Amino acid sequence: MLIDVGQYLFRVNSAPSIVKNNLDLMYGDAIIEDSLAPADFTVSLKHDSLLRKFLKPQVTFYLGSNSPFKPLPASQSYPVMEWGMNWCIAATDFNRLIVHAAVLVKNNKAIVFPATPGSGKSTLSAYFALSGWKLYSDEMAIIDLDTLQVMPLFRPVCLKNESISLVKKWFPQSIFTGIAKDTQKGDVAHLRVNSFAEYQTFSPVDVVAIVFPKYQKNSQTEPYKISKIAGFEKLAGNSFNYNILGNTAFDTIQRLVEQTQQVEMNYNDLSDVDDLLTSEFTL
Amino acid sequence: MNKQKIYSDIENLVFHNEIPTIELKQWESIIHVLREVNLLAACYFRLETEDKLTLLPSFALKHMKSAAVYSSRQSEQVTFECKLLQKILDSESIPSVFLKGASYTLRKSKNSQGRVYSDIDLLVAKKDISKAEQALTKHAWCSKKVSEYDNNYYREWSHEIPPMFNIHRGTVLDLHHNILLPISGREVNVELLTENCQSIDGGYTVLGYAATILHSIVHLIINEDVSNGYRDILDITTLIKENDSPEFWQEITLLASKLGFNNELYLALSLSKKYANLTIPNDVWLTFSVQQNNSKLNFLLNYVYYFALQPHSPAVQTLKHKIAINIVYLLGHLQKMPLKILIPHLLTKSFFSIRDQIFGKHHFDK
Amino acid sequence: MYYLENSFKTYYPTDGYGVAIFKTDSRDTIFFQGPNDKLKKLFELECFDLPKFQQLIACELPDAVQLIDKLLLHNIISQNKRT
Repeated sequence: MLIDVGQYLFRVNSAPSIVKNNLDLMYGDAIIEDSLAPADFTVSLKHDSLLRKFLKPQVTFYLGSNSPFKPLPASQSYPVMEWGMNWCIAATDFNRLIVHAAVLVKNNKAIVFPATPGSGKSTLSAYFALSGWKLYSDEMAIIDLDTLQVMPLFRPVCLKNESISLVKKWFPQSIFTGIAKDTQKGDVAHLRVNSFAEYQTFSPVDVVAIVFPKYQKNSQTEPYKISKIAGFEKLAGNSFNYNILGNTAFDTIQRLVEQTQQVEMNYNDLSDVDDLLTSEFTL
Repeated sequence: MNKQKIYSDIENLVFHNEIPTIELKQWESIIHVLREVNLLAACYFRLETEDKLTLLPSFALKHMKSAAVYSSRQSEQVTFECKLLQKILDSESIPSVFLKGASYTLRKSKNSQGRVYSDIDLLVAKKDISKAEQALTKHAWCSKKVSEYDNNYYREWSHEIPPMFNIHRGTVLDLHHNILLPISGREVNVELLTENCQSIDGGYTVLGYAATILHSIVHLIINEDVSNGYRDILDITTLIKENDSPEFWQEITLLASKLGFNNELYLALSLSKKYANLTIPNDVWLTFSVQQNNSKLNFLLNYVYYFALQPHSPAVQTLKHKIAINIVYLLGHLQKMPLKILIPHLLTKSFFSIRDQIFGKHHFDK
Repeated sequence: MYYLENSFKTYYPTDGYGVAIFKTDSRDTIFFQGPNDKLKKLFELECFDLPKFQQLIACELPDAVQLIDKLLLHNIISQNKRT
């Protein structure tokens, strides 16, 4: 099967049927049997050793014949497939700057939310995506080195632990995979927020702000501007391929921080964040 | 698409810079195979030299370019590391020679462009190994964690100590005192190899070109693992083409003779001829009359090595490739160690492999 | 005496605060806080001694020493004259 995630085409050579079912659920019409286009990656998820297959089944993700991760319990098959796909992109695309961040777009303007600890960016991504924003990615901001525009990706949101039940509560109609328990990130489930048809209306857009949210249970939603140098340092620290791109990344991030505003924000209510960002950046 | 056709397109692209006229979809196999064998970046730079990048479909160009960015970064990093390493060893007055990948990068040979490699290889005299190890440890280099068995293997039998890595940057360094296992009985007279060393820009020392190429050949042929074989043959062919001169041919044939590597040189030159159509002077071929009449050697050449070195990718591999690879695996081990040591070594290695098969490779990792 | 190396490039944000330095040899990126007019003056020098440094950066001695250590560690300055 082939999966069109927008910027990349994945060929899935083999995977357990539970994974294929979840891929169907998450990607819908983005899955095609065949294409005239060449796939960027050939991936597979295979069961590991002989004995383990019967006692404690494990799966390993492969890009071609190479496996970047340790084998993981078969109960985590679907997250492993998604993390494997993330890895393929982050480990091979050095034509763009790839930042570990969520990207949400409203009115053709993008806000990048780097994945700093305690940011709650996945929950934020899910909330915003189901509240009128367009999700360009919950995990990686793909930034064109010349135009500095951010590219849309068609991938589900990865939610963890309490976020799963929270989002289900807020959006009872939402489309989720089953929950994979006890992964290295805790309980994990994936959420589809758009149809492929909706996604296909998304196009590259300019970034207006880099926002560093911090979920604080009893706080008010308070934004404050931070210095560009602090913004630069955090962006660089969150870029997957900063070190590879070196000089180019330095220049790109420099132009990006000059072109955008950098804001830190404590919050405890996502709808406040939505309102605040919408008015602040006239979206 | 037919595996033979895919392979043939790859061979033409890699060795002759010929861009295949195929449908866009057929580029998928080619790019995936090149990625598997780490030749995407090399192809990029070779096509760039011939101004052919615009002839590539954007799908192929983007993947090759991305790989080229990665390899450029690596070569910058290696250059930086070697500068620091040279400083450390100079301060302790330890003479050293950079080998393989690092030497190509430092001397900027044609095959260095796009070449990706995981370790820096450095040769020092056997008597200086401990001193070098200590000096490196003072500068944040640590020995990699290997199993106790492997640690003994390295120190007692091998021509290198266990790999060292830099705590701050993660770079891996292989410190050698020779290029073949001493125990195999085919210990190289390392002085012959380092006889015509070259000093290059930056104050580094590398082997002369004949020794460099011969080292690469020996490393390729007397090795059980030929997963990088295709890239190695490309290295060898490119280096020979870059240094093609009567003096060079004289030097390499003489050196091979002195070191007892005539068979290996013959095999490598014949393979270069098969893959890359390399032109070898007639008088050089004449020195190989013994090898040319050796039917076993020629069988190995045409039916084993020719297939075993081709890209280890399911897109081009057939049963004959797999059989060839297995034969090379066995031969490689046999050449490196006499049987009485090989069997316990293989048995121990096999025990670990079987154990890992059953319990999973990382079960015993701490 | 400390000498400025020449293997780096700088970015002074337009909001007037801090500098990011990209070292072209090690490919490291190093950040410094502080008003950029002072930092600009510092990085334009060929060399400086501790008193001059303190005067330029306007900081206490312990901070000055710490800063100099950081500059030395990342090879932005050295105690050897550049040949």
